[in-house]
Amino acid sequence: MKNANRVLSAEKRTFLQQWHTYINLQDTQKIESARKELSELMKTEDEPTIKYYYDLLRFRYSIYKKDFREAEQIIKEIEYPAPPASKKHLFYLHFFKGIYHHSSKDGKKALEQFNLAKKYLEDIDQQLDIAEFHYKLGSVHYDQQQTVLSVNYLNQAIETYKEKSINLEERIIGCELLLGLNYVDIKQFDLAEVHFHNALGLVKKLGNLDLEIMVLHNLGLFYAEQQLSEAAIRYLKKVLEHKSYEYHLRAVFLITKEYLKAQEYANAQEWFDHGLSLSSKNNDQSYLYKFNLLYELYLSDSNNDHSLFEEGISYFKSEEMYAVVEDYSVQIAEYFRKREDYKQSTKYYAEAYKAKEQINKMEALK
Amino acid sequence: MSRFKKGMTRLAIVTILVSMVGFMGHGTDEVSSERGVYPDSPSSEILL
Repeated sequence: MKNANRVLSAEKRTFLQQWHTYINLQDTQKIESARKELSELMKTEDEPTIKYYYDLLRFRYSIYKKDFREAEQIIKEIEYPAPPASKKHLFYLHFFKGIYHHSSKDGKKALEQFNLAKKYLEDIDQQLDIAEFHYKLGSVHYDQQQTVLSVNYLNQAIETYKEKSINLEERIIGCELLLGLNYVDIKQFDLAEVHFHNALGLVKKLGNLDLEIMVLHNLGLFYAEQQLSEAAIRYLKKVLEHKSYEYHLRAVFLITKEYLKAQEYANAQEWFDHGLSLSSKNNDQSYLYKFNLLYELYLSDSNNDHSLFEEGISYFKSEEMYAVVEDYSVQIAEYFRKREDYKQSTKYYAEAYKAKEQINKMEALK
Repeated sequence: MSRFKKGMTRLAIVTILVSMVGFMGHGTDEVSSERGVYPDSPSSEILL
């Protein structure tokens, strides 16, 4: 009987691993059917390490579903009291916590967790999990504008995803997009174009509409960064034809900015109104500040009250969004320079310099 | 210090800081902190 239980436990362990693979592959149908089957099977399981592995995967599943309330609940349950964790379990615990923080827009905490997970990476034998870890590291570093680190991890990830036994095209597209975006950040537009082109080719082959919209959005950003506003707006408007697009607000913000660059103020005002209302509905503080700063910098007639500048920069600092602090500090400094208010201009250029130093410091710490 | 000198000193400081930051911004033209999108990029958008 004891032996029979052991066999059953080994089978469950394999089944759990399979569930994890389905989540990595984002295969919705298989994820759901495995979840249902496992929730029945696990009712009778009392082996603590298997139960713990199951709980970790439930945590990962709730992040995949973007059910952050449930994710928080699960992590509270499994962290206290301290679990019977092996090195592998510790890897997954920190890796999944990192994914959770990244999904809830806290890149700094995500990196802290990924760095803890890294200590146990050599105990992981699943190639797909290692590639996924590198992909996530690459994406968080991209969000933090740490280009060198991001490109390095993404190259490792794409190599694994391209292996014949894996050939995970959705993730290859993700890597191509992120590599292209990193090159946009450092203004290597020729290289960026190659990666976006690779992504578009694969997207067409797969016929995946969600990914196709992402490529179009990034092409909008790609043209915006080259000061080709007309092309940028054209691509971004194509994106917005898809009403349920998840990153709608980001596209609206970019369009507003492009109309401002092109000095088409009536259009800019229209998109600004739309964006402000969306940010407010979503209660997105960051975009509320960004839209209001754009208004104050380029659309408002009033020259008197500049308290929003200080408030906005303080908010981005408190969120440790140093790239945003640098970006808007420069814009504010230029605003004052054009008005020959050199005292204020100096203050905001100094602010931008400090933010840049902070970004460099954070990159050096990795 | 005369107003002119003060103004010139501040202008010089701005110029030094601009070179330290590493670029000369032109309003919305030069620098961007906007991030692109990719599978699993964070989003809190719930309403359109």
